[in-house]
Amino acid sequence: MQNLHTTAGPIAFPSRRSLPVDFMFRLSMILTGGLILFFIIIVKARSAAELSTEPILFGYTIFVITFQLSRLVSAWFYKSTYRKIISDFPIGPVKNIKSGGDFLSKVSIVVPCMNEEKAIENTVTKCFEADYPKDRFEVIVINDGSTDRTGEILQGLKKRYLNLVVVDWKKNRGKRHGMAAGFRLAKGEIVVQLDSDSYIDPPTFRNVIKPFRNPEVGAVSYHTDPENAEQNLLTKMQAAYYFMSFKILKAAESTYGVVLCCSGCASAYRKNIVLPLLDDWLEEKFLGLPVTWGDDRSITNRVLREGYKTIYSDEASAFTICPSTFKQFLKQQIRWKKGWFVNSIFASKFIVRREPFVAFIYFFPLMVVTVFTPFMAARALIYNSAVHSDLSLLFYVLGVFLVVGMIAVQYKMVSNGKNRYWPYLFIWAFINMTILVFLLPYALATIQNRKWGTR
Amino acid sequence: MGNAIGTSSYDAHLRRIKIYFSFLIVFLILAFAAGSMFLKGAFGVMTVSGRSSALSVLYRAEYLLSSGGKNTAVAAEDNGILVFVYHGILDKPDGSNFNTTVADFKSQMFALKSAGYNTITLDALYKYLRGEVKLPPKSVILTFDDGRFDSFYNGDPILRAVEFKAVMFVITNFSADNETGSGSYYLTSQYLKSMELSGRWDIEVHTQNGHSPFPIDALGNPGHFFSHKAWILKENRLETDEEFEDRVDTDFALGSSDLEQVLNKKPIGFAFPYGDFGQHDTNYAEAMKIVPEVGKKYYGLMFYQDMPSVRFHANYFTEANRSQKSFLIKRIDTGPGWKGADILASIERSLPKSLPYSDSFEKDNGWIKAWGSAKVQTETRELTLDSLPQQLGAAAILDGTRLWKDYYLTAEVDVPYHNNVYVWVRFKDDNNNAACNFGSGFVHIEQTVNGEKRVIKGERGADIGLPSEIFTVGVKAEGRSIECLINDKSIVKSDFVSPALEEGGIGIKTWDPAPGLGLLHVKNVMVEKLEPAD
Repeated sequence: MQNLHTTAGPIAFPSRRSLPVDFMFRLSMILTGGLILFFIIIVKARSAAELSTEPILFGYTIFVITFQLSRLVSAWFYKSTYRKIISDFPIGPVKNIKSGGDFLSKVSIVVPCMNEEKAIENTVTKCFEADYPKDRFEVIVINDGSTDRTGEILQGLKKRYLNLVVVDWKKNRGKRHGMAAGFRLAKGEIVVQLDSDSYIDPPTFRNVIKPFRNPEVGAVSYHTDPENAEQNLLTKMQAAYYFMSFKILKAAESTYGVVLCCSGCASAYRKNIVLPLLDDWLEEKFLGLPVTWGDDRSITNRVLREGYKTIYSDEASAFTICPSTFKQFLKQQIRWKKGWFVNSIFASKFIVRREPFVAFIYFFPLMVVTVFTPFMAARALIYNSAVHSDLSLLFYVLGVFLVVGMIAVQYKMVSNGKNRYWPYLFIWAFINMTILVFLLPYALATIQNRKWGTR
Repeated sequence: MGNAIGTSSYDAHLRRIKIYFSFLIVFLILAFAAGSMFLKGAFGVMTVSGRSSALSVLYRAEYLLSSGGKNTAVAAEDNGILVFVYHGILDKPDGSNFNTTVADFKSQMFALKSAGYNTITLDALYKYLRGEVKLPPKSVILTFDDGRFDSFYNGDPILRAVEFKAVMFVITNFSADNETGSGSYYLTSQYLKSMELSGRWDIEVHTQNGHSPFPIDALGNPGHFFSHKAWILKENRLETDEEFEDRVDTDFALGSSDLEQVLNKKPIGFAFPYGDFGQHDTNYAEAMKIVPEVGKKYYGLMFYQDMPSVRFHANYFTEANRSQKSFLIKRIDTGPGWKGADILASIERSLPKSLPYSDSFEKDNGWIKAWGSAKVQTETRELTLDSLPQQLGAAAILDGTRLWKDYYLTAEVDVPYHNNVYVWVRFKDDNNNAACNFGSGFVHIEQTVNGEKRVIKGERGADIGLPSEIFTVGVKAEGRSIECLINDKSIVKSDFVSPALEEGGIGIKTWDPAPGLGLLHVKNVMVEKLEPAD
């Protein structure tokens, strides 16, 4: 049996480098950041000057740049806030679950799945390898009307693992119902929701419950990287994107305890908060039709609405399978954009009341920027290129890449040399600028199409 | 217990972060806004001006070293005004026939400076023309067309070093209406303001938006804005007279108001794009009369380069036309590759010549080709006039003679094919002049006033013929009398030349009724001054 005792003191983030090397690394990163900042100012000023940009547009550009960089600034404070959340509660408030210096709540892992004969065995196996006392731990798999061998495999696994609960549905009812059933069946106080092709890295599992020591925390999203990152260019690019989204963007949200989307790949919820919310969640409608995407965002928003914190933890890390063909990738993006839009409308109704600071420095600016970006991109790529020659396009692309450069600097700093996909951020930025931003208008145009987006 | 304390410490922590964050973001926004404003506005102008200032010190040192600081100023005569045209100043020649290089421009300016020339602005020129002020000795005017950034960027330090002034004609649509920006092809209004403030530059109008050629017929052939009626494609017709006038008027007016808005001064000068207001090729013959008439409403000085009938390079204004409100001014195109010596030579050729004058063609003293082929041959020391294949003759006018009054001109000529020899005196322009026409069997005195040409006296006779060998033609112009001589022998004389031709320069022409045949060798031209007989 593994050692259950973990220290409750401040969390150490060991650097792999010696102190002077580390110092030089950080210094060079800061200098690079400063240089990029300088270039951003020059590019913006130049483009404003050369293209005689209207004052409003110029103001907007400054707003966008500041907003993007403000997310980096927020992310700086992530670790200190996370530490605070935990160190305020050296001993958990939950009675009788003390074990050594830490507390170990009972945890239920919920995995809704459908036709996952290839992935499900690995997911379940990895769950049971978790560094966690097995008597405080169960896995619930909802087999949501699979027509392949998924059911068969699960029955086999059940023989191997005592704490595996399998729910077999003959008819497909949708992921949301699967998740809800998981919450209702769970015996644990903490419910970990996993995608059928995701798993939490077993040695880090113990850190899953750590933030829940703090009773204000309602949900936690765990760091997730693509398992199949090395597969092709597209997956490498997504690996860079995942790393940036979690380590920087979610970290930024987490600083204020307002992670707007606890990712469906691997997130945990406090069951007694979620249970009363389930009926409302299952009934969610947008423009009169049931909502079939953005389940994770939707449940996170409801937890936030109840006044709890949602945070991001990079102490437990998960792996998932990301789309490896461009078509799947686009479908996923469209689903995500639809989910983002519907839930942003939903959140805008309570966010000012619950988190006024975040609402005005982050939430609404994000909405404005996201909605306007397709138009600005179209303006730069098509209209301006035609009217102002190629100069405008150059400035636009340069501006975007400089901001991405800034993100890349922070990426390198937080990855501490462990994640080497940062150059792919630039490819991501290119695809984003030319294709992905235009998916939002498409997603909005087809928002009444409520088919399940299959991968 | 831990709960309560913990929460408050977490909240305090978060509050601190929010404050840090807000500070940083305000700082970022300020940095962006301030940095951008700084860069897009004053910064560019300041940098260029700083560069110009530093560079001018170097140039000044270079000038002092090269010239020894000597200034060979010569007392000036109150006379012809020379205006030079430049376009871009580049680091290297670009193969065009209108741009110069930094090195060449510097060489020209140093040469002008050490030869004692002064540069003036259009304001001073206008006042001078109106008789309100005198000009400094040896005044010339330097003008730049198109409002190009490179001509200012490279030219300013040089002008600064030698304390010269220059005129910049801008396309206001590209310059005045464009407030910000640096490093663009055209000067932006920020630069125009700073240039005007420096006192070194006089910003004037090239056009508002009339620099691009447009279609002038159904085939889409291009024409210039001020010289041609535009083709209206939709209605398949040319502009009417009124439409033409409106279009031209609008451009004049907008150019003026554009610049006034930026500089708070009413511009006084207008340089026609391509120097063209219809005096060359046109589909509307009236253009060259109408355009300056319309332009007068807005500008006191209008500039062109060539006009077929105006031969002299300098501008001459008499007391009579000083009451004008508006003046048409000729400019001299500076060629690419011109060095200091070239511009001085150009000035020397163009400025008024004094009497007595003798020319043995050791160099070109300013014989302007007026027709056919006219070349000064320095090896054989002669001026050769040779008609082109389909033409009936060839002619040349001597620059700088426009102000001559009473003189006796003799020229040794060789006429191998016995063509007519035509000697101009009192030549003002193609439409105002007098001449002796020496032909086989006759000598005529002709005068042309306002384009109307007539023979005022003639002498016919079999004994009047052009000698076969080299001989001398002579013309005496004294008051209202003109006398034609061959080998110092008077042939015909009239005392009734038009009083309008009280002064004027000299020229010579060969003519033959058979195309391509006219050929004339001119050697040793002498002009003596005559005292008028009252």
